[in-house]
Amino acid sequence: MSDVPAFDVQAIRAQFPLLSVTAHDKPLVYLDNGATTQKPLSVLKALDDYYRQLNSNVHRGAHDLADRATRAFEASRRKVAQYVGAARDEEIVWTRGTTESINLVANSYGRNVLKAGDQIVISTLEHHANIVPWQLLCEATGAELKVIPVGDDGVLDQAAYQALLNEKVQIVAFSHVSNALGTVNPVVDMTAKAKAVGAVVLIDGAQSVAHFDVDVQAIGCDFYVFSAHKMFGPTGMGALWGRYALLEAMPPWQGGGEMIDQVSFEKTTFNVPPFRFEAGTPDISGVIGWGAAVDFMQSLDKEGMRAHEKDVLDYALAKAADCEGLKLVGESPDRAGVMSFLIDDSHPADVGTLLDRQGIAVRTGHHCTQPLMQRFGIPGTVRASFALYNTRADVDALFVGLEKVKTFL
Amino acid sequence: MIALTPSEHFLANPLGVSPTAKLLGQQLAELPDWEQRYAAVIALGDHIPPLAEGDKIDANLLHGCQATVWVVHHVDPVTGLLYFLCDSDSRIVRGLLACLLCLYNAQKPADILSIQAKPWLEEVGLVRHIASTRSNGLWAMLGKMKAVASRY
Ligand SMILES: Cc1ncc(COP(=O)(O)O)c(C=O)c1O
Repeated sequence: MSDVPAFDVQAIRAQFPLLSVTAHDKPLVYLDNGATTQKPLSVLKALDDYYRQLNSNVHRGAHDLADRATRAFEASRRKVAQYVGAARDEEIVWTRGTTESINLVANSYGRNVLKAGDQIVISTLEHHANIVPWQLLCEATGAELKVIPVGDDGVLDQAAYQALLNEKVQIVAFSHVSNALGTVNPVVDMTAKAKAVGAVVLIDGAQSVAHFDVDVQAIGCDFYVFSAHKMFGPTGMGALWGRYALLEAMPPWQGGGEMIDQVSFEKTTFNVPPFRFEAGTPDISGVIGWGAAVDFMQSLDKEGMRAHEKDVLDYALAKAADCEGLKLVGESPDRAGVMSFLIDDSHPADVGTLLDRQGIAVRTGHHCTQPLMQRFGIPGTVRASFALYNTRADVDALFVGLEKVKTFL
Repeated sequence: MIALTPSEHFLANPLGVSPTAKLLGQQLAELPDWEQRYAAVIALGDHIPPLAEGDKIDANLLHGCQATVWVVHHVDPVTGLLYFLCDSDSRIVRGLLACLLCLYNAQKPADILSIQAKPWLEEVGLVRHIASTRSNGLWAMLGKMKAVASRY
């Protein structure tokens, strides 16, 4: 589109008020975007406008205000649906986030379909959110959990994955982008392999949606789960995208208002998806705020954005290669948004603390991927994670900060 | 190096004897900025005699902190004083533990129970400078020392 202005990182930064705050009296350098991203003015305004001008309960309105709130709410569903390439809006189920989306699939689809002796395949790279719900499901059903190994470079072993696949495998779940290492998994190919043995595929998109366009049709998966707060939207808001036929066959998970068709004490019938899975009053402002975040993303020069993000990440990796004592954890050639590392044998938490004192926000620890850290035999890493508003100057600040850290440890 | 018997190992720990908490407090409070305070705390950690490898076992692990922390103790049968040794894979945590040792090592159990750590840590400017996530190890260690003291 020719009317989209070329990507200008300074103009983008100006839209994120939080980037101007200080931390420990230093200008904040925010490199913890894997944990959550900051919010642009348009999202803040949408949240504010909602409570000032639109607040009322959705889908139950007998009045104009409720109708308008419902329209805004459903318009957001359309935006999010289009953002990931859903075939129809009704394939988007609102949840509290990636975590709840995975739990929904495990509890509704999983419990309905799995039986003893079946298998679930996940990967070593997974966030606890994409491990624990499957473990609980295995305990409940007698199914078995199998794990795709990862190489020293942080790349999944595709041959080992292929070897794990057989007709007992009912569900395959893996991340699009690893939150701990930044590895981008070959999701199209991995999905095709799983489909070849008839498995249903869930992809954890928590770390991908802020960095590149997702097209669930092109991937060919069955479920795609993601969170608003990792793509410049509000916290506590997320979605499950699922193929409509699958959603339709799934029983409800949580019961309550909104998800029913008819209720009597003898028999209750359930609403159609997505409403069947949206019991209770939803996070209406969160939904509307997320719609604004999608609008923000869609207004960008995507190619320019990707080129900028690649430039910043490549710049960081080049600096890392020159930084004495720095050891990268995860060296996938295909990566997004994340640089995980250790400094000599310093504890990552010490590095993080001393960076924090300098106003540089990174995350340290296991990043909710303890099995992955065990695989590498380390207590955790220091993770700098980037978003579209980060710059080479942020990277410079990080490495100046690291030089100072080294004088302490 | 002459091998120390386990109890000599504890007696070789200078923290709490010299520097005492009072002296350390004065030194830390006089430092002008966070950098020097952190450097001093980290350097203090190096004064803790190393823990015997055999003591680095799960039974001696302190839970509740991001870093790994081991703690062992010893009561001198003659003086009745309570001694502690500890170690951590985090240099900052080890330094903070050393600060606590200045306050509590080589003390009577009753004194360990009565001496309050928080006002002292505030006074010397440490509380303000420790990220809340990092202070966990400190409070866990404090709880451990008080619990041990209450048994004697
Ligand atoms: C890969 C991945 N999966 C799942 C989650 C959980 O997301 P949420 O906390 O928004 O449910 C995260 C967030 O850290 C993540 O990075």
